[in-house]
Amino acid sequence: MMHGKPEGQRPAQEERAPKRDGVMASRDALQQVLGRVQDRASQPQSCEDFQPLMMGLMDQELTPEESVAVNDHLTRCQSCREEFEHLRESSGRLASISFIEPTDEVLEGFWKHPYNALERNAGIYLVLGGLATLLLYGGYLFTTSFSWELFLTGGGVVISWLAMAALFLRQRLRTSKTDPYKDRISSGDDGRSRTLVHPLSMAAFILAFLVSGLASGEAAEPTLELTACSEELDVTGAQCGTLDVYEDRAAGTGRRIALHVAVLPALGNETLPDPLFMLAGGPGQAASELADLAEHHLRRIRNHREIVLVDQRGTGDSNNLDCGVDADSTYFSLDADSFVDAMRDCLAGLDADLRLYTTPIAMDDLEDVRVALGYDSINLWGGSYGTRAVLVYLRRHEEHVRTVIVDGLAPPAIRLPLWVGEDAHRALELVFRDCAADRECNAAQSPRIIPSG
Amino acid sequence: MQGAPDPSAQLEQEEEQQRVWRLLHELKPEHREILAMKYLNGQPYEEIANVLAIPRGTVMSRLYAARKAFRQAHERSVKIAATEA
Repeated sequence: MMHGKPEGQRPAQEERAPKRDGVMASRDALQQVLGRVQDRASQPQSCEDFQPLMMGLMDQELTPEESVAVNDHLTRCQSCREEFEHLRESSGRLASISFIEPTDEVLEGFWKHPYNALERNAGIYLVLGGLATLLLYGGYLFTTSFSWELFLTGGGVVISWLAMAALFLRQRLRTSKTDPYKDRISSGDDGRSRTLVHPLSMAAFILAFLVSGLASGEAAEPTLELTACSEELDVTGAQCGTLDVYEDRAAGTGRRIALHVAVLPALGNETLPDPLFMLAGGPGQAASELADLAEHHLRRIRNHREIVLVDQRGTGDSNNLDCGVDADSTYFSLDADSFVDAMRDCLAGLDADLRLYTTPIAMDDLEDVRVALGYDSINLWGGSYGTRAVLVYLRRHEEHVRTVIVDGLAPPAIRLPLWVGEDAHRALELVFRDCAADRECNAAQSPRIIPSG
Repeated sequence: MQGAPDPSAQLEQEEEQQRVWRLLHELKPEHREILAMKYLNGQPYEEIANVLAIPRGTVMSRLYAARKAFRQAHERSVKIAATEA
Protein backbone atom coordinates (compact mmCIF):
# COMPACT_ATOMS: atom_id res chain seq x y z
CA MET A 1 0.00 0.00 0.00
CA MET A 2 2.76 2.37 0.98
CA HIS A 3 5.08 1.35 -1.83
CA GLY A 4 3.00 2.36 -4.81
CA LYS A 5 4.19 5.96 -5.05
CA PRO A 6 4.87 6.48 -8.75
CA GLU A 7 5.88 10.12 -8.36
CA GLY A 8 8.52 9.42 -5.81
CA GLN A 9 9.80 6.26 -7.38
CA ARG A 10 10.86 7.86 -10.63
CA PRO A 11 13.61 10.17 -9.40
CA ALA A 12 14.99 7.29 -7.36
CA GLN A 13 15.32 5.15 -10.45
CA GLU A 14 16.91 7.97 -12.34
CA GLU A 15 19.47 8.39 -9.67
CA ARG A 16 20.24 4.67 -9.65
CA ALA A 17 20.47 4.44 -13.41
CA PRO A 18 24.12 5.48 -13.91
CA LYS A 19 25.26 2.71 -11.54
CA ARG A 20 23.32 0.05 -13.46
CA ASP A 21 25.09 1.14 -16.62
CA GLY A 22 28.36 0.70 -14.86
CA VAL A 23 27.61 -3.07 -14.68
CA MET A 24 27.75 -3.11 -10.92
CA ALA A 25 25.66 -5.41 -8.80
CA SER A 26 23.71 -3.46 -6.21
CA ARG A 27 25.38 -5.26 -3.29
CA ASP A 28 28.82 -4.34 -4.57
CA ALA A 29 27.67 -0.81 -5.06
CA LEU A 30 26.37 -0.63 -1.51
CA GLN A 31 29.58 -1.92 -0.05
CA GLN A 32 31.55 0.50 -2.11
CA VAL A 33 29.35 3.34 -0.99
CA LEU A 34 29.55 2.34 2.64
CA GLY A 35 33.31 2.27 2.27
CA ARG A 36 33.13 5.77 0.96
CA VAL A 37 30.89 6.78 3.82
CA GLN A 38 33.50 5.55 6.23
CA ASP A 39 36.45 7.29 4.66
CA ARG A 40 34.28 10.26 3.72
CA ALA A 41 36.18 10.72 0.53
CA SER A 42 33.02 11.10 -1.51
CA GLN A 43 29.27 11.20 -1.06
CA PRO A 44 26.71 8.41 -1.62
CA GLN A 45 24.62 8.82 -4.73
CA SER A 46 21.50 6.66 -4.97
CA CYS A 47 18.50 6.11 -2.71
CA GLU A 48 19.80 2.62 -1.95
CA ASP A 49 23.03 4.16 -0.76
CA PHE A 50 21.12 6.42 1.59
CA GLN A 51 18.87 3.73 3.09
CA PRO A 52 21.37 2.61 5.75
CA LEU A 53 22.25 6.21 6.52
CA MET A 54 18.55 6.92 7.06
CA MET A 55 18.76 4.46 9.96
CA GLY A 56 21.66 6.37 11.40
CA LEU A 57 19.69 9.57 11.13
CA MET A 58 16.68 7.98 12.80
CA ASP A 59 18.82 6.70 15.65
CA GLN A 60 20.93 9.87 15.85
CA GLU A 61 24.10 7.97 15.26
CA LEU A 62 25.52 9.96 12.33
CA THR A 63 28.44 12.34 12.13
CA PRO A 64 27.47 15.93 11.28
CA GLU A 65 28.68 15.53 7.67
CA GLU A 66 26.67 12.32 7.21
CA SER A 67 23.59 14.01 8.66
CA VAL A 68 23.93 16.88 6.25
CA ALA A 69 24.28 14.51 3.30
CA VAL A 70 21.24 12.42 4.28
CA ASN A 71 19.09 15.42 5.03
CA ASP A 72 20.11 16.93 1.71
CA HIS A 73 19.08 13.73 -0.09
CA LEU A 74 15.78 13.53 1.78
CA THR A 75 14.80 17.02 0.74
CA ARG A 76 15.39 16.07 -2.88
CA CYS A 77 13.92 12.52 -2.85
CA GLN A 78 10.27 12.37 -1.90
CA SER A 79 10.02 8.55 -1.90
CA CYS A 80 12.96 8.33 0.44
CA ARG A 81 11.35 10.88 2.70
CA GLU A 82 8.13 8.88 2.79
CA GLU A 83 9.93 5.66 3.46
CA PHE A 84 11.85 7.30 6.24
CA GLU A 85 8.64 8.47 7.85
CA HIS A 86 6.96 5.10 7.50
CA LEU A 87 9.88 3.28 9.01
CA ARG A 88 10.09 5.74 11.86
CA GLU A 89 6.41 5.31 12.52
CA SER A 90 6.45 1.51 12.51
CA SER A 91 9.69 1.34 14.44
CA GLY A 92 8.10 3.45 17.11
CA ARG A 93 6.00 0.40 17.95
CA LEU A 94 9.15 -1.52 18.66
CA ALA A 95 10.22 1.16 21.11
CA SER A 96 7.04 0.57 23.08
CA ILE A 97 7.90 -2.96 24.07
CA SER A 98 10.04 -3.99 26.95
CA PHE A 99 10.75 -7.02 29.05
CA ILE A 100 8.18 -7.39 31.75
CA GLU A 101 9.73 -8.92 34.80
CA PRO A 102 7.26 -11.58 35.95
CA THR A 103 6.03 -11.24 39.49
CA ASP A 104 7.02 -13.77 42.14
CA GLU A 105 3.49 -15.17 42.14
CA VAL A 106 3.69 -15.84 38.41
CA LEU A 107 7.08 -17.53 38.78
CA GLU A 108 5.85 -19.54 41.72
CA GLY A 109 2.76 -20.63 39.79
CA PHE A 110 4.88 -21.61 36.81
CA TRP A 111 7.26 -23.58 39.01
CA LYS A 112 4.51 -25.43 40.81
CA HIS A 113 2.40 -26.16 37.77
CA PRO A 114 2.06 -29.96 37.57
CA TYR A 115 3.02 -30.08 33.90
CA ASN A 116 6.14 -28.01 34.43
CA ALA A 117 7.14 -30.09 37.42
CA LEU A 118 6.68 -33.24 35.36
CA GLU A 119 8.64 -31.83 32.45
CA ARG A 120 11.40 -30.59 34.74
CA ASN A 121 11.83 -34.00 36.29
CA ALA A 122 11.02 -36.10 33.23
CA GLY A 123 14.66 -37.12 32.90
CA ILE A 124 14.97 -38.57 36.37
CA TYR A 125 11.56 -40.25 36.12
CA LEU A 126 12.52 -41.90 32.84
CA VAL A 127 15.92 -43.01 34.13
CA LEU A 128 14.55 -44.38 37.39
CA GLY A 129 11.63 -45.99 35.59
CA GLY A 130 13.97 -47.61 33.09
CA LEU A 131 16.28 -48.87 35.81
CA ALA A 132 13.38 -50.17 37.87
CA THR A 133 12.11 -52.05 34.83
CA LEU A 134 15.57 -53.48 34.19
CA LEU A 135 15.95 -54.54 37.81
CA LEU A 136 12.50 -56.11 37.93
CA TYR A 137 13.18 -58.01 34.75
CA GLY A 138 16.59 -59.00 36.11
CA GLY A 139 14.99 -60.23 39.31
CA TYR A 140 12.48 -62.20 37.30
CA LEU A 141 15.26 -63.83 35.27
CA PHE A 142 17.17 -64.61 38.46
CA THR A 143 14.26 -66.46 39.98
CA THR A 144 13.41 -68.35 36.81
CA SER A 145 16.76 -69.18 35.25
CA PHE A 146 20.01 -68.48 37.00
CA SER A 147 23.28 -68.33 35.09
CA TRP A 148 26.60 -66.67 35.71
CA GLU A 149 26.26 -64.45 32.67
CA LEU A 150 22.98 -63.26 34.09
CA PHE A 151 24.65 -62.69 37.43
CA LEU A 152 27.35 -60.55 35.77
CA THR A 153 24.79 -58.61 33.77
CA GLY A 154 22.63 -57.96 36.78
CA GLY A 155 25.68 -57.13 38.86
CA GLY A 156 26.84 -54.66 36.23
CA VAL A 157 23.49 -52.92 36.17
CA VAL A 158 23.24 -52.79 39.96
CA ILE A 159 26.81 -51.51 40.41
CA SER A 160 26.34 -48.86 37.73
CA TRP A 161 23.07 -47.87 39.28
CA LEU A 162 24.66 -47.56 42.72
CA ALA A 163 27.53 -45.55 41.25
CA MET A 164 25.08 -43.21 39.61
CA ALA A 165 23.04 -42.91 42.76
CA ALA A 166 26.20 -42.04 44.71
CA LEU A 167 27.15 -39.35 42.21
CA PHE A 168 23.60 -38.06 42.26
CA LEU A 169 23.56 -37.80 46.04
CA ARG A 170 26.97 -36.18 46.14
CA GLN A 171 25.83 -33.57 43.65
CA ARG A 172 22.63 -32.98 45.57
CA LEU A 173 24.60 -32.53 48.74
CA ARG A 174 27.00 -30.10 47.11
CA THR A 175 24.13 -28.23 45.48
CA SER A 176 22.28 -27.85 48.74
CA LYS A 177 25.37 -26.28 50.29
CA THR A 178 26.34 -23.91 47.53
CA ASP A 179 23.20 -23.27 45.52
CA PRO A 180 22.78 -19.49 45.34
CA TYR A 181 19.15 -19.91 44.27
CA LYS A 182 18.21 -22.05 47.22
CA ASP A 183 16.39 -19.25 49.00
CA ARG A 184 14.71 -17.95 45.89
CA ILE A 185 13.41 -21.31 44.76
CA SER A 186 12.53 -23.16 47.88
CA SER A 187 9.82 -25.40 46.53
CA GLY A 188 12.03 -27.32 44.14
CA ASP A 189 15.56 -28.06 43.16
CA ASP A 190 17.01 -27.51 39.76
CA GLY A 191 20.19 -29.30 40.75
CA ARG A 192 18.56 -32.46 39.52
CA SER A 193 18.80 -31.74 35.86
CA ARG A 194 22.42 -30.76 36.22
CA THR A 195 23.17 -33.95 38.10
CA LEU A 196 21.76 -36.06 35.33
CA VAL A 197 24.18 -34.82 32.75
CA HIS A 198 27.14 -35.12 35.08
CA PRO A 199 29.78 -36.77 32.90
CA LEU A 200 30.61 -39.44 35.46
CA SER A 201 27.02 -40.47 35.92
CA MET A 202 26.60 -40.56 32.18
CA ALA A 203 29.66 -42.79 31.98
CA ALA A 204 28.23 -45.10 34.63
CA PHE A 205 24.96 -45.22 32.76
CA ILE A 206 26.60 -46.02 29.45
CA LEU A 207 28.73 -48.67 31.18
CA ALA A 208 25.61 -50.34 32.51
CA PHE A 209 24.18 -50.57 29.02
CA LEU A 210 27.45 -51.82 27.58
CA VAL A 211 27.76 -54.52 30.23
CA SER A 212 24.22 -55.71 29.73
CA GLY A 213 24.62 -55.45 25.95
CA LEU A 214 27.81 -57.52 25.97
CA ALA A 215 26.36 -60.17 28.23
CA SER A 216 23.19 -60.49 26.22
CA GLY A 217 25.20 -60.50 23.00
CA GLU A 218 27.03 -63.60 24.23
CA ALA A 219 23.96 -65.80 24.17
CA ALA A 220 23.97 -67.53 20.81
CA GLU A 221 20.86 -67.64 18.70
CA PRO A 222 19.72 -71.08 17.62
CA THR A 223 20.07 -71.68 13.90
CA LEU A 224 19.00 -75.31 13.70
CA GLU A 225 15.43 -75.73 12.64
CA LEU A 226 13.50 -78.39 14.54
CA THR A 227 10.20 -80.06 13.68
CA ALA A 228 8.28 -82.89 15.25
CA CYS A 229 10.17 -86.18 15.05
CA SER A 230 8.98 -89.12 13.01
CA GLU A 231 7.18 -91.96 14.75
CA GLU A 232 10.42 -93.90 15.14
CA LEU A 233 11.41 -91.60 17.95
CA ASP A 234 8.47 -92.14 20.22
CA VAL A 235 8.85 -89.47 22.88
CA THR A 236 6.10 -86.93 23.46
CA GLY A 237 7.04 -83.52 22.12
CA ALA A 238 10.38 -84.62 20.71
CA GLN A 239 11.74 -82.31 18.04
CA CYS A 240 14.08 -83.42 15.31
CA GLY A 241 16.27 -81.72 12.76
CA THR A 242 19.48 -82.09 10.83
CA LEU A 243 22.70 -80.14 10.82
CA ASP A 244 24.94 -80.36 7.78
CA VAL A 245 28.65 -80.71 8.50
CA TYR A 246 31.54 -81.41 6.15
CA GLU A 247 32.71 -84.98 6.21
CA ASP A 248 36.18 -83.45 5.95
CA ARG A 249 35.88 -80.73 8.58
CA ALA A 250 39.50 -79.61 8.21
CA ALA A 251 39.17 -79.05 4.46
CA GLY A 252 35.75 -77.42 4.78
CA THR A 253 34.74 -78.63 1.31
CA GLY A 254 33.37 -81.74 -0.33
CA ARG A 255 30.80 -84.22 0.90
CA ARG A 256 28.48 -83.21 3.68
CA ILE A 257 26.89 -85.31 6.36
CA ALA A 258 23.44 -84.47 7.67
CA LEU A 259 23.69 -85.06 11.41
CA HIS A 260 20.42 -86.27 12.87
CA VAL A 261 19.53 -84.29 16.00
CA ALA A 262 16.67 -84.95 18.40
CA VAL A 263 15.68 -82.71 21.31
CA LEU A 264 13.45 -84.15 24.01
CA PRO A 265 11.63 -81.35 25.82
CA ALA A 266 11.83 -80.89 29.58
CA LEU A 267 8.83 -82.27 31.43
CA GLY A 268 8.37 -79.48 33.96
CA ASN A 269 7.26 -75.91 33.47
CA GLU A 270 10.73 -74.47 33.76
CA THR A 271 13.50 -75.43 31.40
CA LEU A 272 17.02 -74.75 32.59
CA PRO A 273 19.31 -73.31 29.90
CA ASP A 274 21.81 -76.20 29.98
CA PRO A 275 20.52 -79.45 28.44
CA LEU A 276 21.88 -82.98 28.76
CA PHE A 277 23.59 -84.41 25.68
CA MET A 278 23.63 -88.21 25.64
CA LEU A 279 26.54 -89.96 23.96
CA ALA A 280 25.91 -93.56 23.00
CA GLY A 281 28.12 -96.59 23.26
CA GLY A 282 29.77 -98.82 20.76
CA PRO A 283 31.27 -97.10 18.91
CA GLY A 284 28.43 -97.54 16.49
CA GLN A 285 25.32 -97.11 18.57
CA ALA A 286 23.14 -94.18 17.60
CA ALA A 287 22.20 -91.67 20.27
CA SER A 288 18.62 -91.67 19.03
CA GLU A 289 18.46 -95.29 20.21
CA LEU A 290 18.82 -93.90 23.74
CA ALA A 291 15.47 -92.11 23.59
CA ASP A 292 13.82 -94.92 25.48
CA LEU A 293 16.49 -94.86 28.19
CA ALA A 294 16.14 -91.10 28.46
CA GLU A 295 12.39 -91.28 28.72
CA HIS A 296 12.21 -93.94 31.39
CA HIS A 297 15.37 -93.62 33.42
CA LEU A 298 16.35 -89.96 33.33
CA ARG A 299 13.05 -88.53 34.42
CA ARG A 300 14.54 -86.50 37.21
CA ILE A 301 16.95 -84.87 34.79
CA ARG A 302 14.20 -84.43 32.24
CA ASN A 303 12.09 -82.56 34.75
CA HIS A 304 14.12 -79.40 34.23
CA ARG A 305 16.35 -80.09 31.28
CA GLU A 306 16.05 -80.88 27.62
CA ILE A 307 17.82 -84.00 26.44
CA VAL A 308 19.71 -83.80 23.17
CA LEU A 309 20.45 -86.89 21.13
CA VAL A 310 22.86 -86.49 18.25
CA ASP A 311 23.53 -89.47 16.03
CA GLN A 312 27.30 -89.41 15.78
CA ARG A 313 28.63 -89.44 12.22
CA GLY A 314 28.51 -93.02 10.90
CA THR A 315 25.63 -94.05 13.16
CA GLY A 316 21.85 -93.94 13.13
CA ASP A 317 20.52 -91.42 10.63
CA SER A 318 23.89 -89.65 10.22
CA ASN A 319 25.36 -91.46 7.23
CA ASN A 320 25.09 -94.81 8.94
CA LEU A 321 28.06 -97.11 8.26
CA ASP A 322 26.17 -100.35 8.68
CA CYS A 323 27.38 -103.80 7.80
CA GLY A 324 24.24 -105.39 9.18
CA VAL A 325 25.88 -107.08 12.14
CA ASP A 326 23.20 -107.76 14.71
CA ALA A 327 21.95 -110.67 16.74
CA ASP A 328 19.83 -112.03 13.88
CA SER A 329 22.47 -111.78 11.16
CA THR A 330 24.04 -114.84 9.63
CA TYR A 331 27.57 -113.59 10.27
CA PHE A 332 27.82 -115.51 13.50
CA SER A 333 27.49 -118.83 11.74
CA LEU A 334 30.67 -118.03 9.78
CA ASP A 335 34.11 -119.03 10.89
CA ALA A 336 36.49 -116.28 11.93
CA ASP A 337 38.30 -115.92 8.59
CA SER A 338 35.08 -115.79 6.60
CA PHE A 339 33.74 -113.23 9.02
CA VAL A 340 36.77 -111.00 8.46
CA ASP A 341 36.38 -111.37 4.70
CA ALA A 342 32.71 -110.46 4.90
CA MET A 343 33.65 -107.37 6.90
CA ARG A 344 36.29 -106.36 4.35
CA ASP A 345 33.73 -106.65 1.55
CA CYS A 346 31.27 -104.51 3.47
CA LEU A 347 33.96 -101.94 4.23
CA ALA A 348 34.88 -101.61 0.56
CA GLY A 349 31.28 -100.95 -0.30
CA LEU A 350 30.75 -98.12 2.23
CA ASP A 351 30.28 -94.65 0.81
CA ALA A 352 32.53 -92.75 3.21
CA ASP A 353 36.10 -91.67 3.87
CA LEU A 354 36.58 -93.80 6.97
CA ARG A 355 39.62 -91.84 8.11
CA LEU A 356 37.23 -89.04 9.01
CA TYR A 357 34.98 -91.00 11.38
CA THR A 358 37.07 -90.53 14.49
CA THR A 359 35.98 -89.48 17.95
CA PRO A 360 37.71 -86.02 17.95
CA ILE A 361 36.09 -85.12 14.62
CA ALA A 362 32.73 -86.37 15.84
CA MET A 363 33.06 -84.28 19.01
CA ASP A 364 33.70 -81.18 16.89
CA ASP A 365 30.44 -82.06 15.09
CA LEU A 366 28.78 -82.13 18.49
CA GLU A 367 30.17 -78.69 19.28
CA ASP A 368 28.58 -77.41 16.04
CA VAL A 369 25.27 -78.84 17.18
CA ARG A 370 25.60 -77.12 20.57
CA VAL A 371 26.17 -73.78 18.83
CA ALA A 372 23.40 -74.37 16.31
CA LEU A 373 20.92 -75.11 19.11
CA GLY A 374 21.98 -71.96 20.96
CA TYR A 375 23.22 -73.51 24.20
CA ASP A 376 25.95 -71.75 26.16
CA SER A 377 26.87 -74.69 28.31
CA ILE A 378 25.77 -78.30 28.30
CA ASN A 379 25.86 -81.43 30.46
CA LEU A 380 27.13 -84.68 29.02
CA TRP A 381 26.13 -88.24 29.75
CA GLY A 382 28.15 -91.04 28.22
CA GLY A 383 27.85 -94.81 28.54
CA SER A 384 30.61 -97.21 27.59
CA TYR A 385 32.26 -95.85 24.42
CA GLY A 386 30.17 -92.75 25.08
CA THR A 387 32.29 -92.04 28.16
CA ARG A 388 35.36 -91.88 25.95
CA ALA A 389 33.53 -89.51 23.62
CA VAL A 390 32.60 -87.40 26.66
CA LEU A 391 36.25 -87.22 27.68
CA VAL A 392 37.29 -86.19 24.18
CA TYR A 393 34.61 -83.51 24.07
CA LEU A 394 35.73 -82.31 27.49
CA ARG A 395 39.32 -82.10 26.28
CA ARG A 396 38.37 -80.10 23.17
CA HIS A 397 35.49 -77.90 24.36
CA GLU A 398 35.76 -77.79 28.12
CA GLU A 399 34.58 -74.17 28.37
CA HIS A 400 31.06 -75.17 27.33
CA VAL A 401 30.71 -78.14 29.65
CA ARG A 402 28.84 -77.75 32.92
CA THR A 403 28.89 -81.35 34.19
CA VAL A 404 29.66 -84.82 32.85
CA ILE A 405 28.32 -88.23 33.82
CA VAL A 406 30.53 -91.12 32.75
CA ASP A 407 28.70 -94.41 33.12
CA GLY A 408 30.89 -97.49 32.67
CA LEU A 409 34.08 -95.64 31.96
CA ALA A 410 36.19 -96.58 28.94
CA PRO A 411 39.23 -94.36 29.42
CA PRO A 412 41.29 -93.48 26.37
CA ALA A 413 44.18 -95.61 27.61
CA ILE A 414 42.43 -98.96 27.09
CA ARG A 415 41.87 -100.63 23.74
CA LEU A 416 38.16 -100.79 23.91
CA PRO A 417 37.05 -104.22 22.63
CA LEU A 418 40.21 -106.05 23.66
CA TRP A 419 39.16 -107.08 27.17
CA VAL A 420 35.45 -107.32 26.57
CA GLY A 421 35.40 -111.12 26.48
CA GLU A 422 37.52 -111.60 29.58
CA ASP A 423 35.75 -108.85 31.51
CA ALA A 424 32.32 -110.22 30.65
CA HIS A 425 33.33 -113.70 31.72
CA ARG A 426 34.71 -112.40 35.02
CA ALA A 427 31.62 -110.34 35.69
CA LEU A 428 29.42 -113.35 35.11
CA GLU A 429 31.48 -115.49 37.45
CA LEU A 430 31.27 -112.86 40.16
CA VAL A 431 27.49 -112.76 39.82
CA PHE A 432 27.34 -116.53 40.13
CA ARG A 433 29.57 -116.45 43.20
CA ASP A 434 27.44 -113.84 44.85
CA CYS A 435 24.31 -115.82 44.01
CA ALA A 436 25.79 -118.98 45.50
CA ALA A 437 26.51 -117.11 48.71
CA ASP A 438 22.94 -115.85 48.89
CA ARG A 439 20.55 -118.43 50.24
CA GLU A 440 17.45 -117.23 48.44
CA CYS A 441 19.21 -116.71 45.12
CA ASN A 442 20.85 -120.08 45.42
CA ALA A 443 17.58 -121.80 46.17
CA ALA A 444 15.79 -120.06 43.34
CA GLN A 445 18.01 -121.45 40.60
CA SER A 446 16.04 -123.42 38.09
CA PRO A 447 17.63 -125.08 36.31
CA ARG A 448 20.57 -125.26 38.62
CA ILE A 449 23.59 -123.66 36.90
CA ILE A 450 25.84 -123.00 39.86
CA PRO A 451 27.22 -125.95 41.77
CA SER A 452 26.05 -125.68 45.32
CA GLY A 453 28.85 -124.23 47.42
CA MET B 1 -5.59 11.28 35.45
CA GLN B 2 -3.03 8.54 35.70
CA GLY B 3 -5.05 6.96 38.46
CA ALA B 4 -7.92 6.23 36.06
CA PRO B 5 -6.61 4.79 32.76
CA ASP B 6 -9.09 4.10 30.02
CA PRO B 7 -9.66 0.30 30.06
CA SER B 8 -10.28 -0.03 26.32
CA ALA B 9 -7.18 2.01 25.51
CA GLN B 10 -5.23 -0.14 27.91
CA LEU B 11 -6.53 -3.29 26.23
CA GLU B 12 -5.63 -1.93 22.83
CA GLN B 13 -2.16 -1.09 23.99
CA GLU B 14 -1.70 -4.53 25.44
CA GLU B 15 -2.89 -6.17 22.24
CA GLU B 16 -0.54 -4.05 20.21
CA GLN B 17 2.39 -5.02 22.40
CA GLN B 18 1.50 -8.68 22.06
CA ARG B 19 1.35 -8.24 18.31
CA VAL B 20 4.78 -6.63 18.27
CA TRP B 21 6.25 -9.48 20.30
CA ARG B 22 4.67 -12.05 18.02
CA LEU B 23 5.90 -10.28 14.89
CA LEU B 24 9.37 -10.07 16.33
CA HIS B 25 9.36 -13.82 16.81
CA GLU B 26 8.24 -14.31 13.24
CA LEU B 27 11.13 -12.31 11.82
CA LYS B 28 14.24 -14.13 10.73
CA PRO B 29 16.82 -14.43 13.54
CA GLU B 30 19.24 -11.94 12.00
CA HIS B 31 16.57 -9.23 12.01
CA ARG B 32 15.11 -10.16 15.39
CA GLU B 33 18.55 -10.07 16.89
CA ILE B 34 19.48 -6.60 15.76
CA LEU B 35 16.07 -5.13 16.65
CA ALA B 36 16.29 -6.66 20.12
CA MET B 37 19.72 -5.16 20.59
CA LYS B 38 18.52 -1.78 19.44
CA TYR B 39 15.17 -1.59 21.21
CA LEU B 40 15.21 -4.01 24.13
CA ASN B 41 18.83 -3.57 25.10
CA GLY B 42 19.07 0.01 23.88
CA GLN B 43 22.58 -0.60 22.61
CA PRO B 44 24.32 2.04 20.46
CA TYR B 45 25.63 1.17 16.97
CA GLU B 46 29.18 0.86 18.19
CA GLU B 47 28.25 -1.81 20.70
CA ILE B 48 26.06 -3.69 18.23
CA ALA B 49 28.91 -3.63 15.72
CA ASN B 50 31.29 -4.96 18.36
CA VAL B 51 29.02 -7.74 19.56
CA LEU B 52 28.02 -8.93 16.10
CA ALA B 53 31.53 -8.33 14.70
CA ILE B 54 30.22 -6.39 11.73
CA PRO B 55 31.16 -2.91 10.44
CA ARG B 56 29.07 0.12 11.37
CA GLY B 57 27.77 0.35 7.81
CA THR B 58 26.44 -3.19 8.03
CA VAL B 59 24.71 -2.34 11.32
CA MET B 60 22.84 0.39 9.50
CA SER B 61 22.00 -1.66 6.41
CA ARG B 62 20.87 -4.62 8.54
CA LEU B 63 18.78 -2.33 10.70
CA TYR B 64 17.20 -0.95 7.55
CA ALA B 65 16.36 -4.46 6.30
CA ALA B 66 15.07 -5.47 9.73
CA ARG B 67 12.87 -2.42 10.15
CA LYS B 68 11.51 -2.83 6.65
CA ALA B 69 10.73 -6.50 7.33
CA PHE B 70 9.04 -5.58 10.60
CA ARG B 71 7.00 -2.85 8.90
CA GLN B 72 5.81 -5.24 6.20
CA ALA B 73 4.95 -7.92 8.76
CA HIS B 74 3.08 -5.36 10.83
CA GLU B 75 1.09 -4.09 7.89
CA ARG B 76 0.18 -7.61 6.90
CA SER B 77 -0.86 -8.45 10.43
CA VAL B 78 -3.04 -5.38 10.76
CA LYS B 79 -4.68 -6.14 7.43
CA ILE B 80 -5.41 -9.74 8.45
CA ALA B 81 -6.81 -8.57 11.80
CA ALA B 82 -9.05 -6.10 9.94
CA THR B 83 -10.46 -8.72 7.56
CA GLU B 84 -11.03 -11.15 10.43
CA ALA B 85 -12.85 -8.54 12.49
